[in-house]
Amino acid sequence: MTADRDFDRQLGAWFDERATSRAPEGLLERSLERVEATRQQVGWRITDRWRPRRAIGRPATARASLGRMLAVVAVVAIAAGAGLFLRLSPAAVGGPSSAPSIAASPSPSVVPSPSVAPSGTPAVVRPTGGIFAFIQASGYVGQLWVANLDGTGPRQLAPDLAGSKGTPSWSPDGTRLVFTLTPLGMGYPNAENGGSRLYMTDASGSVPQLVDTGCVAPCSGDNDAAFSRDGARLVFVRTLVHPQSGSPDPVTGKGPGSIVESVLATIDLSTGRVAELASTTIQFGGSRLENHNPRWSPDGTQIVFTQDVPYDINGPEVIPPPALFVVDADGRNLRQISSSGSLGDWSPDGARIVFGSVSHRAGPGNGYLMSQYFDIYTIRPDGTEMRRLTSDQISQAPSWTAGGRIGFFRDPTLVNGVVANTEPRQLWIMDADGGNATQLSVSPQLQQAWPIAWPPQA
Amino acid sequence: MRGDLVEKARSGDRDAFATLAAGSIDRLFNIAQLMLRDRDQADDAVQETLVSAWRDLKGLRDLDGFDAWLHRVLIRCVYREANRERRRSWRTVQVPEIASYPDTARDVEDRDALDRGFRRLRPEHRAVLVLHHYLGFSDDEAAEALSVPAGTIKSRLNRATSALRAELEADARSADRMAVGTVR
Repeated sequence: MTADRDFDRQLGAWFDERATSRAPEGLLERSLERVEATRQQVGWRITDRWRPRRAIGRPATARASLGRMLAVVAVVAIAAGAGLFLRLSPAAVGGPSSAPSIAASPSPSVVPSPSVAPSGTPAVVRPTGGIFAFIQASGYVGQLWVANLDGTGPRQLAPDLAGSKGTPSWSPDGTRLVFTLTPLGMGYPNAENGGSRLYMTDASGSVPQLVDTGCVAPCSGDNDAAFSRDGARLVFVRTLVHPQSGSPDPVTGKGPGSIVESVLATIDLSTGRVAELASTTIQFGGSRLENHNPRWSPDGTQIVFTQDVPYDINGPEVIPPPALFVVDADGRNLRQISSSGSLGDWSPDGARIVFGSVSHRAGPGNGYLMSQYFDIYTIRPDGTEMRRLTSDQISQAPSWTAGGRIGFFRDPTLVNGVVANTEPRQLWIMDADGGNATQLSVSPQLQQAWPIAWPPQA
Repeated sequence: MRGDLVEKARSGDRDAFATLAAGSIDRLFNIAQLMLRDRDQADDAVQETLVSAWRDLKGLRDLDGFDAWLHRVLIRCVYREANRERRRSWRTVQVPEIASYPDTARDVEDRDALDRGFRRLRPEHRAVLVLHHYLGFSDDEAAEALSVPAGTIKSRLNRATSALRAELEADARSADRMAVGTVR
């Protein structure tokens, strides 16, 4: 090779020679299968840690299942105001309640925390006591696992139950584990293909039992369940599909459109009584708006949850993050307590709620990508006295432990709000005021898992 | 038409996204393969690209900028794959390929030398060379794809070219030493 050659020409020709191949057979199908199992993110970013699948996996079925996907209606509106009432499923009893109202966002002032972000390189401690439940991806299928706090003794639960498992949650006494099972190949839930269902098992992996929530049309699926502190009730997110006759879907142009709604629901496990909290209803609309992560207050009278915020898809430069709401257990007194918040969880005494807050900013350079900055706050259930506990902009997914401390993740892949490397996530724990933040030594399996249910005994 | 597809995909229409993906996948794979020089890694990077693109599509503000945005997502995924490869390979001993240096036509030598030299470049240098010499991107387009200021592209391209030349010259010196050794 000599320097006097036409280097650019030769390099271009070399590239051309090597870039004539087509994508490997099945790559598109494998990719679309994973796309089908991935939710578009509006605010809260759940990192897709699923490893790619090689060509030797199961045969591609994405095209067939993609054909069943739901046509989404371009209606972006939040259900609010008069006409909202407690709605009961066919299995439920009781009557409608009076209409709740959505309280205005309180715009609370931030009270500085005595201690903020973990810094430096503190000692990593080995946790003891309790069992984590977590979801580990295998291809595009979520597997349910449990392991000791330090990651030892991992074992998979319900491996023979076909489908993708998600959103595990322990009963307060640690004897039962509720999780979501989604049939394989399901895309958007709709009335034809059915959707997710709730199952119950325990740490020993006993045969999972379907939780009969009476999910029949227009109910399409239930997911994201959590126990009440007395273990007698579950709260979960229900998807409703109301097929519309006549005109085609205004977004996709296909078939008769459907109105798809997301609503919180509760079930009394002793009586089977199911109540849909109609005040929490939000229509999917063109940008897929949903409820997420409901959690009971310790006294069982209130529920904190996250709700996506409607926006004009052609309007804002930066999509608004989801907001944090609290509602009474009977569906009344719905109120937004934070304009940005997700994964809220109650302190053991019910006095405060910890949540992850994300702020969106226009991406670096050209605004195509949003930068996302995550920190952890606590707030009173009435929306006052908000305190910032971290300021490193990479702390996420807080969970209040029974011992009164806060477990959370730090995601070092985020640099200036965008994914910049492949560093594993870190599991941390800190005091309720943000002090004494300590990294927990956990196995690589737990570092890659998502989501994680903290053991109630922790 | 393409803008309509992008808008539908951004609104959650997976069929529309599948159409966009089908029209892009060969190009994405070729770019990834050129940058990574490994079909399996390129396969992984393209999968990650399409999943990430779907997941983050709501963050795309300019529908006409879909292709440029997709390139950015791809390059981010390629970097990740390249870093994974670096971590995997740190234990392995890099055996020079001098012994198999072909004593055939000059252009074959050049292509093989290019191949070896290119593999030894840092991922960001491979990326800018692919964007410039294979895709024919302008400085502005390459800057957008790489998420760096436009003024950085020229210097990065110069450094990448110099690094590749240095690798080729080192390769040639090794070959010369090998030839001398053979004569003795």
